[in-house]
Amino acid sequence: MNELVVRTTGLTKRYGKRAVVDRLDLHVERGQIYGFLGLNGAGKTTTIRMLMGLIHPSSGSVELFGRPVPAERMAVMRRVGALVESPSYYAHLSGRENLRVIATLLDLPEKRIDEVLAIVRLTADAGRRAGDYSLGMKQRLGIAAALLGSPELVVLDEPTNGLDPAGIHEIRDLIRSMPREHGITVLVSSHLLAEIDQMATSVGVIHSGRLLFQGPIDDLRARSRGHVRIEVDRPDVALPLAGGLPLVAAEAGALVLDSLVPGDAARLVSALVGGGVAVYRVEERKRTLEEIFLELTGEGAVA
Amino acid sequence: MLRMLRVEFMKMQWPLVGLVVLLGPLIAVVLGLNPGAGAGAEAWKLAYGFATVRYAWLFYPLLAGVLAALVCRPEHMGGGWKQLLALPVSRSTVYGAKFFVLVGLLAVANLVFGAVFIVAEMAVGLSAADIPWSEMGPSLLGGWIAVLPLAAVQLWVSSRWKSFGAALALNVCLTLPAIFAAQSHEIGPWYPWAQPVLAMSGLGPSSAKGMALGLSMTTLWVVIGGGLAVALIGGLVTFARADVRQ
Repeated sequence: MNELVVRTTGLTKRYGKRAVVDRLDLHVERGQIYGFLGLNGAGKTTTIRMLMGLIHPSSGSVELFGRPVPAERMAVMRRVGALVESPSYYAHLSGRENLRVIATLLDLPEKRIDEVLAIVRLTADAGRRAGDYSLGMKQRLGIAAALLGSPELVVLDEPTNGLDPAGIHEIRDLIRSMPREHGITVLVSSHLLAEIDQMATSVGVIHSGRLLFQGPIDDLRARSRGHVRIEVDRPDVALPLAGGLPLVAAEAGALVLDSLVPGDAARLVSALVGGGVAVYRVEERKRTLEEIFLELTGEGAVA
Repeated sequence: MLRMLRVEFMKMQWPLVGLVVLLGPLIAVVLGLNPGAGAGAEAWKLAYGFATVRYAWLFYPLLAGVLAALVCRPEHMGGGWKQLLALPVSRSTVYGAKFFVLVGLLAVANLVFGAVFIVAEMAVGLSAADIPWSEMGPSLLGGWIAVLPLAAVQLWVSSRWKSFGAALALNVCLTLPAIFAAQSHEIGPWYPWAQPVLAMSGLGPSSAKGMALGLSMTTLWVVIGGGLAVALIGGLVTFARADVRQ
């Protein structure tokens, strides 16, 4: 396994009796784009704030680059850039001045400000008051701030919230380029599966504070085993003919089978036709990631 | 720490802060102006007594609250805390820098008060030759030291409360009783908001007003020193432990 850039062990945050984050074991490897997926209120932001040392865990621990946070936060945060929830900005300062505040604290040259402004394409608007920026520009300013210190880990909390489609596309391309062009590990949270699907290499699904799934996004997709649905005129006659096959259900006007190998499909159809059953339609239905996500979170809600 | 201070200066809403620092003392002096006050050193002292009472009783403590709120305002407004505190800076550095800037501004306000007072009195006819430097100097310094504990209290409150108005309302509520507290020998020395007027009148030339007479200066300084330590450490510990949720 690659080096774990982020590792939480039994991370828990309780407010009163309610566990907002519940025994989370988060593993983010170097070079990954880790999609942290969950509905609004699932505990994503609280988790991210604990990663940054902004909120103190009720129990459990956080390690960034193998160092405990918040104990060694000062040493570690130099290597981390973050955009936590809505972008932070000083409204009365220009975009450039906002970045200069951070650059001063990190002891970075003015040149670096120009670089990140160029990366997020804010160079032309750098002199305008940040308070007058559109939401998309504020969001990009926040990402520029996260990138300023040339971090090894970038944490972006809902970076495309409130952006228009063009803006979303742009940010997504930017995030995808980070590991490739800058060797940055990215932890990006979202409540939109489609978004995570389009950029993440790994995914963690959080629901009601619990981590329901964690692993490569392809593993999540592999859960989407297909169903084969065969529409027939007389299911009652068709049913015995499908003997031995992984039958799931016989519903009104159709047989539903677990995925079929091509040979089985051909034999079944030929048996049905031979048995005098009219076959109207054979279709394979793959579950979408959306359905898997809903199923996961549905399970989570029941558990 | 130096970098943090530089950053604080960069973030400050200078037009607003400048206005407050200049306008506060100015209004206090104008309201406390004592026309027809004769001439000579005694007239200066009398006028200074009038001016400090208004200023140190009311305006200076209020100024401490307003400036504390202004120092924290940029962070509260745009979600600055979470960005700032996620950077490799310690929370005590952040808090300490804000306190330094706050007390620096309060020192400037006192100097402005002194300057405006002199100019105003000269404008109404007092002679520059008779300016009571030796009394004004210690008085202005004493007032600044005496305001430190309540500055620390106000920073504590302002760093926790997002609402500018709430912090200010508390400040006003605590400042107004200072007028009565300062007159009480029992409560006066213990009440942070009464310290500036006690210190400024006690050290300064307004002993004629009798405000701080009968009070041991040592007690006053112990109370001020102790109050400052408690408020500063309390605020710092609260700030260091708090969850940043805004």
